[in-house]
Amino acid sequence: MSGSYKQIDHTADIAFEVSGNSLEELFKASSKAWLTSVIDVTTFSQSENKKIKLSSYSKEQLLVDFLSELNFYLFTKKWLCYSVDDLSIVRKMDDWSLSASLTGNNINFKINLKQEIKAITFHQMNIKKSGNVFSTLLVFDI
Amino acid sequence: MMISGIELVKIRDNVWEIPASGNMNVPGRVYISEKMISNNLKTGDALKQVMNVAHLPGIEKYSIAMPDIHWGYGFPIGGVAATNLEEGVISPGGVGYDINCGVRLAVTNLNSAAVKKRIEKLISKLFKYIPTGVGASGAIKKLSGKDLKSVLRKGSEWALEHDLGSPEDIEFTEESGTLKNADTDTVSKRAMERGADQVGTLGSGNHFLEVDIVEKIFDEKTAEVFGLYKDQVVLLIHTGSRGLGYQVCDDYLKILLQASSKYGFSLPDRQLACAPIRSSEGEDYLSAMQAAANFAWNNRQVIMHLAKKAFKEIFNMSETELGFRLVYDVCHNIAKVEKHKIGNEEKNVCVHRKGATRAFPPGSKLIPEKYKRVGQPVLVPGDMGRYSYITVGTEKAMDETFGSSCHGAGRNLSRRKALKNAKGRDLMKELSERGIVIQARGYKTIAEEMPGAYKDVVDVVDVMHNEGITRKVAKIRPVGVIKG
Repeated sequence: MSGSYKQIDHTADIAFEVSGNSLEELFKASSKAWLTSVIDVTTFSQSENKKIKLSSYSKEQLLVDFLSELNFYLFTKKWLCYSVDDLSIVRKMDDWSLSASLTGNNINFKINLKQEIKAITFHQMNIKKSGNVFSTLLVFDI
Repeated sequence: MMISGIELVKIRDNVWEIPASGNMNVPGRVYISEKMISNNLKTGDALKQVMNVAHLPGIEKYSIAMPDIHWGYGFPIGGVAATNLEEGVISPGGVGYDINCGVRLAVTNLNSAAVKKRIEKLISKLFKYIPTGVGASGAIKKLSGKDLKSVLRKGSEWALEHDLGSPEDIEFTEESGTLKNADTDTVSKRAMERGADQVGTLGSGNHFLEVDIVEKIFDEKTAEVFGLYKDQVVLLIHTGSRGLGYQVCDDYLKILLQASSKYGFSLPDRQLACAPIRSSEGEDYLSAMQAAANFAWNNRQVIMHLAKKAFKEIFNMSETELGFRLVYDVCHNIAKVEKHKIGNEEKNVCVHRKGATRAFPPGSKLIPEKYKRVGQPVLVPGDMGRYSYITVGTEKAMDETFGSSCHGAGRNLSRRKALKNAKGRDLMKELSERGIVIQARGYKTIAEEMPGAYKDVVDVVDVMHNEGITRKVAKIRPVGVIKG
C-alpha cells in the first residue's frame, strides 16, 4: 500500500490527514497533498531532476523542511516538483536525514497555480506510529 | 460559562477571564460579546491557545484576546501578550508568518459621483499596476542584493529615496515606517531571495486593495482631524512582507524550537517556540523580524504610490487636485518593545500583537503630531462586500490591552465551505448589484473571499467601542476591489 492523504476542513487554511506504511511513504503522501494544494494539472511534457539532501533534529522538523523545500522551489525558483522518488530517511540518534530525487519543471505563474502556500506549519503535527501505519495532521498556512 | 471544559468568568459585559491554572503564569482575558461567544467560539480551540500563551516565561498581566479571536498557529489570531525584558521571551508564534501584515488608508478629494463614472477603468488600471495573486512579482524592477538590504534597514525611507513616497507618507506610518535596529545579517539568503522581486506586490489570500466611499461618520471632530468626510473616496490596502516575511518566520521557528529546549522551556505547543529576548537567538529573531517589518512598510508604500499613479491617470488630475494623502498605516502582526504601566511602574516590555492593532491614545509621543489631540487611527477591514471601520485609540487601551485593539472580521467559513456555497452563484454579479466592481487573478479567490465567508466586522468593532478600548470614527464601504 502506498501512502494516502485526505483533505479535512480548516477555517482559514488547508489541512490534511496523511498516512503511510513507512516514514518514506508518509513523506511522499505529504508531498502529494502539497502538490494537490498548489496545482490541478499534474502531467508535464518535459521534466528535469534534482537531488536533495536535508537533515534535522526531529522527524516533524524534517517533514516541515522537506515540504518547505518544495515550496521554496515553486514560489521562488518557479520550479514545480510533481514527483518525488528514491526517498530515503535515516535516523542516527537525534539526527534525521533525508535524500530524494525530485522530478519537475519550470512553470509560468500566470497559469494553473491554485494558491500560494506561505508556510508548512507545525500546527497539530505529530507523526505517530500505530501498528505499521505512520500518520500525522498537516496544515499549510495560505 | 464553560466552553469545551474551559472556564470563562464574566468580568464585564464584553470582558471574560480564563483563570490561571496548571502552568499558566497569568490569567487569560478575552474581549468578546456573549453573542460572539455563542456564534464564533463553539469549540475551545482558540481559547486553549489563549491559555497556552499564558505559559510563556515573563508574560505580564494577562494573555489577551481581541473579539476577532480565532484559531491560529501558537498564538490565536487576535492574541496580545507582553513579556518583560528581564526573564521574558520573544516568540515568532506571537507575530505570525506574515510579519507586519497591515493596513493603510489614504484619502482623496474625489466624491462618490466622480468615481462611479470611472470605477471600472480605475480598477483595471490598479490591477495592471499592482501585481496580485500567487507569487506576484515585478511591480518595480527586481532589487539587487544591495538595494534589498537597504529596504530591510530603511523600510519606507527606501521608497522616499527612490521617489516612491513623500515625507508626509513617512510621518503618517506607524514607527515612521522603519524599525531602526534591523541587522540584515540576521536575514537568511533564502528569505532575501523570496523577497527580491516582490516589492510593490499584493500577494494572494485575504490581501486586497479597495476603493471605498466614506458612508458614515460617528465622531465628527476626530474624522475632521483624520481628514475624513461623508461621501469621500478613500483607498484601503491590506498586505504584508510577502515571501520574505514567511521565510524569516520559518527560519526562526526552527532556531527557536532548539532554543526553547536549550533554555529548558516546557511549552504546550511547538508553534510557541521562543527564546529569551536578551539571548542571541531572541535578539537575532527580533532583528530579522524588524527587517521583514521594514520590507512590509516599504511594500505598502510602493503599492500606494502605484495606486496614486493610477488615480492621477484615470482622473487626469495633479496630485494636489486629487488631494491624495495617507491617513495612516498600521501593522497587525508584530512584536515591539514599548513602555507600558505594569503595577505601579512604567517599564519596557515586548508586546506581541498577532492579528491585533496598536491603538495608542491622545497625547502619545509615538503618534503623528497632527493626531495627538485625538489618538491614533486604528483601521479595521471587514469583507469586500460590506464595510470597514476607522476607529481611534484611547487611554483605556493603554490601561487594559497594552495599547492594542482588534484587526478585522475573521473568517466565518472555511475556504472549502465558501467554495461550496459559491457553487452555481454568479458572485461577480452579486457584488455588482451591491455597486462593487472586482478584479482578481481567479474566480476561486473571489469565491473563497466572498462576503459570507467572513463574520460581520461590526460585531468586532462594537465590542471594542462599547468597552472604550477604541472608538468608532467612520465607516467606509467598497466600490472597487482588486484581489490576488
